[in-house]
Amino acid sequence: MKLAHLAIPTGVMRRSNTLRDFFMETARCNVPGLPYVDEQGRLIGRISIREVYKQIAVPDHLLRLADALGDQTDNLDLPEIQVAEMLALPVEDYRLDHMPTVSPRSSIVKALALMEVHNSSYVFLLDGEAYQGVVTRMVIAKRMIECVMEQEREPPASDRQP
Amino acid sequence: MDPVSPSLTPAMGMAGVILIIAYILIFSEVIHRTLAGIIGAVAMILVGLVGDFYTQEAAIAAIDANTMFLLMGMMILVSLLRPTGGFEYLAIRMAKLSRGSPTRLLIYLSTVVTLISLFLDNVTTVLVFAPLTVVIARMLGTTPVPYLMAEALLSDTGGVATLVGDPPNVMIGSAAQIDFNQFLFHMGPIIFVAWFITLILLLFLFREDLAKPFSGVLDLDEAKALKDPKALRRISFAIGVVILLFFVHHRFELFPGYVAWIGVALALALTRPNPEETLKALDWSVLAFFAALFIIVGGVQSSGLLDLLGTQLASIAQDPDQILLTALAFLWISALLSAALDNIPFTVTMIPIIAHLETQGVDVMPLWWALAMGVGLGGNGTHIGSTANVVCVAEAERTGVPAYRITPWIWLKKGTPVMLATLMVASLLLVLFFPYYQGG
Repeated sequence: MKLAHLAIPTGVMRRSNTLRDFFMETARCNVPGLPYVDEQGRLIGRISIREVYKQIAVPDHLLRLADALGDQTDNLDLPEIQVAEMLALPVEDYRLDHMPTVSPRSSIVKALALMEVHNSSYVFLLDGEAYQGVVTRMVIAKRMIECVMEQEREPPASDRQP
Repeated sequence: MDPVSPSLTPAMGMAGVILIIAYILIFSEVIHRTLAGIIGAVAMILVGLVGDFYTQEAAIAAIDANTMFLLMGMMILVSLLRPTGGFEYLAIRMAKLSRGSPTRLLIYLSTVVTLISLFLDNVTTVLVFAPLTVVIARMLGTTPVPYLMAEALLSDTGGVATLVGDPPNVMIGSAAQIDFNQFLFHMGPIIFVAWFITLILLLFLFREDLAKPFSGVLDLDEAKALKDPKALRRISFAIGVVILLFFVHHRFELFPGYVAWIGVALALALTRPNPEETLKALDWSVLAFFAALFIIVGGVQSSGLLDLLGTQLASIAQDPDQILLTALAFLWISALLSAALDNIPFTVTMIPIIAHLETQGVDVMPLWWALAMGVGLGGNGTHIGSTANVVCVAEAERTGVPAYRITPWIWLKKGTPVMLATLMVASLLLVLFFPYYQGG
């Protein structure tokens, strides 16, 4: 199974964008990350929603006691910064340099392997230098279900007209 | 034994240059200290082979296997203990026992960290407790700074009391053939007093922060923090056996390093962990750094340079009337250097010098005690004086809250007075009870 036509088309993030722009686009497209481009439009990184949350809301020191946390954690809620202020921060500060990519001719297995190795739930689909969109595990799952349903709809070979 | 050359030889010069370059690289942090150590060790062997004063066999022999195995063994035990959630459980229990009192919280958390640091490496202990302390403090709506600094300072201080409490003690005990009980009975009383002085000072220095009641609620379930109670019990049992054996190891002529591995074997047999995961969790960088330092200093020793330095010192230290002053000088010089520089290279370098003094007829026992106290207590002097301090400062920085940063100025106001007070107490007690700290 190839990845062509599986990508979710999204916008890209640039230096001028803020976290608000990032959150709006990821929520609109229902993807966990977006590519980051330079002034010439070349992909040079990505913004990951997981990494943003790690930096602004879920510091490492909290993880050790995550299982033990009760519900009264108001003081641990987003640090001393209001949400509106947080969303006004530039996305550039959260840019990750590494971005796993695949091409339309790549297989689903390759995409899944890259996600696993890079601990990511998505990869970017590039056709040459042109950004096509985001491929996520859910998109792959939907495609697999569609395949199965198509096969179930097709009549068995013995019933087909010669 | 070869007679000591009365003057500097080319071998001493070469070895000295390698030592100085390696230490500059280590202290300046231009590159990671382990990389600097390894490069220095390889260079020292090469120079030694060329200069015909240091062989590869001598380099291997220079590595103190007892120290290495003791450190490695205790690291394995801690790496087995960490995933069980035992430390998290303890931290939450102490926080709940404090029942809303900032003073009690500071005392309980610091005491637990100290007690653990007596037997397990204090850096690892603080590495585990510091993030937990930050979470607890933030949930309670208070600054974590007093608690973080107290944990670093008190664990550093407490760790000086036992043979296994910090790496310099391990090296000194191994080189000087001081057993666990001897170490505890000599260092324990001074450190006990120093620890209390430290605690009282900290309660005073942070009195304004500790006077503010908590504004938040500690909603943590310690039972849920425990990931593997069965493993925790078994590994705790193994550590208990190790601690008991430490008290009697000299009677059975067991090296402390071997005792640690008895505990490791017991813990592995009882828990059967994945050995790859267990060994992966070890701080190999620290172990490699130690081995490299031993090789570098071994080369300097082989060249005769350290013996030459020791002979110069012996002329002062040999005078029985001067030995107390020499010990006090060791104490304060070790402390002041440890406050600014990594105390491990200093300790590794001083050990052969003191050992050589012993061959010159000097009673070196007071110097061993002075070195242990100096490098241990001196680390409290600055925010970079010990790894535990660096860990706590980094953890405070990670909160992202400017008010919670432990700046060098804050450390100067709170930590440096503690170091000076403990050094004065240690000096006073050393003077008052000096015959007890003498050899023979």
